[in-house]
Amino acid sequence: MKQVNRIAEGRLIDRDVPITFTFNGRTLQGFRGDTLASALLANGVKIVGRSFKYGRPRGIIAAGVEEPNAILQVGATPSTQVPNVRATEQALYEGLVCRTTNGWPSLEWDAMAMVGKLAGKMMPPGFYYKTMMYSQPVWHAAERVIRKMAGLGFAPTEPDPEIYDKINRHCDLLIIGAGPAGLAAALTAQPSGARIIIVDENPTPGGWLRFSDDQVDDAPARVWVQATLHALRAAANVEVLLRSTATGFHDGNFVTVVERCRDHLAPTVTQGLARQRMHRIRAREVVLASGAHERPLVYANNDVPGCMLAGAVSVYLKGYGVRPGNALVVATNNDAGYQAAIDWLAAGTGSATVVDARAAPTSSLVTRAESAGVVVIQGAVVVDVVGGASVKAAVVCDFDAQADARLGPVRKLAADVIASSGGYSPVVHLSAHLGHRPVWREDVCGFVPNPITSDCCLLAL
Amino acid sequence: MLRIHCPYCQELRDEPEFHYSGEAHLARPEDPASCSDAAWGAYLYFRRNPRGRHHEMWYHAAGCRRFFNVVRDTVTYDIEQTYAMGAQPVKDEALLQ
Repeated sequence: MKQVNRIAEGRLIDRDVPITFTFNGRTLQGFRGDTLASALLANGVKIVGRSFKYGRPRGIIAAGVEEPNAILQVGATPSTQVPNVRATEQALYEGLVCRTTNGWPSLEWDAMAMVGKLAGKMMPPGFYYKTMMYSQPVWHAAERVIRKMAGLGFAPTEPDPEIYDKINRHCDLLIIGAGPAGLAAALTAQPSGARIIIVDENPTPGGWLRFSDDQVDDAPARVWVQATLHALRAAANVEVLLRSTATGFHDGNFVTVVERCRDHLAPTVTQGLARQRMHRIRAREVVLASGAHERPLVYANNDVPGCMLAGAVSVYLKGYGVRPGNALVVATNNDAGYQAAIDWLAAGTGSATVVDARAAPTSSLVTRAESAGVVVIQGAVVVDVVGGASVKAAVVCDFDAQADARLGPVRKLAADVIASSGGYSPVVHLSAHLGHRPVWREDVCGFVPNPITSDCCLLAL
Repeated sequence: MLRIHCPYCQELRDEPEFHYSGEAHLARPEDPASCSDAAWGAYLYFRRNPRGRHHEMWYHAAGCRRFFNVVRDTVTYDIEQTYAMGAQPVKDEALLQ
């Protein structure tokens, strides 16, 4: 089985260990360290779902927890079914079986898509299942079909043999997020002797430093992350919890953390080992270092498979050695978009074009991109996408940022991936759990957490 | 989940050990039989329900089984102080800000 989009690099994968898995009955191959999403992209899978009302094809957009489309049913047997798993979060294991949860009769040929295309004009908000509800005989007949259309996965039909554990914990300092800020906080606090727990949802710490070529303390960022992890693990007063998501921030610095101990392994009836563990952590102080998510840009048909986040493109290129196409168009309004184009060309032949809404950006990244061979179009925006089941071209138009108006005629740029970057939004979710509204910060163009209590500290990245 | 310091047990304990018992420092009319319906109604039913600092009673049900007073912020749920029944809260200008 050929992985058409796999390239040489890939910091997170182990190419010596191929892994076979099944997607919608097709047998595909990935490598150890892959997520389900990166393995699907490596195999050239574009459509991973259908939209709810119109059955529009949907592809993988992001590379992490913010993925909205790649939501799959995972599990080989009736008792091990897990519905609504984000492919970007599920690690690949040997024999993994997954399938899409919508699309009928098949994902590629979806009846609802025809309904959406033909009847969309007559039903702008889409089909309302309630139309069928007020006549009992009609409802009973319609229910089976409607359930099929509505479903996002289905529950397992047999009891789950796995063990799910819970544990009460106490610590002086809980650090949520093991990116650069979280690791630096842990390093700073460690000599004090305070009991520290640092949690991160990824299998490896470092956050965006994992995919960066920057230097930290005169060493490549990845080397610094490894050295820091080693130092923290060696310290008696620090515990590093990876594959662990802080799911709730409650009163009195009580934080629930779900550790996915064995979700990355094939489901078996384990020998007394928990599949997941709920840590109920009571912390004296909490550091929120949960980072930021990239915002997509808005243009017509930006849900066509092949439209992705610029940061996610970099993650797939550098982390997983996956280049999901050949011709890249980056739509951006900030410097971050240029990095994806640079990474794209560094990963091999192909073309990369950056369409920047700003008229004259001045940044070293822009000059670096140009010298790397990236075509830079400034003062223009992507306004539409050509293509139905996958991106064929980007429709570009000049743009006057001052007047907020499109200028002149549109032109088409051939592309199979359109990456967009609209800046970064801090992950404020946990800080809002206690009812504190995030506040707008003009300098970061985003909502930032409101300082919660005197014993909770907030860090940006 | 709150953590509440019981002034009798002198320990910081988890909220499930306690019961909330309403607003504190409510003076019962001296002679209920002779007070007006309005005054009696106000004593029985009308509460300040403030947004912010609130003086309230808690009952340490799974501990010493005694009532005590708590000063709690109803917005942030921060507990400022706890003190025994019959006592008055510590007047701290810094806390009152």
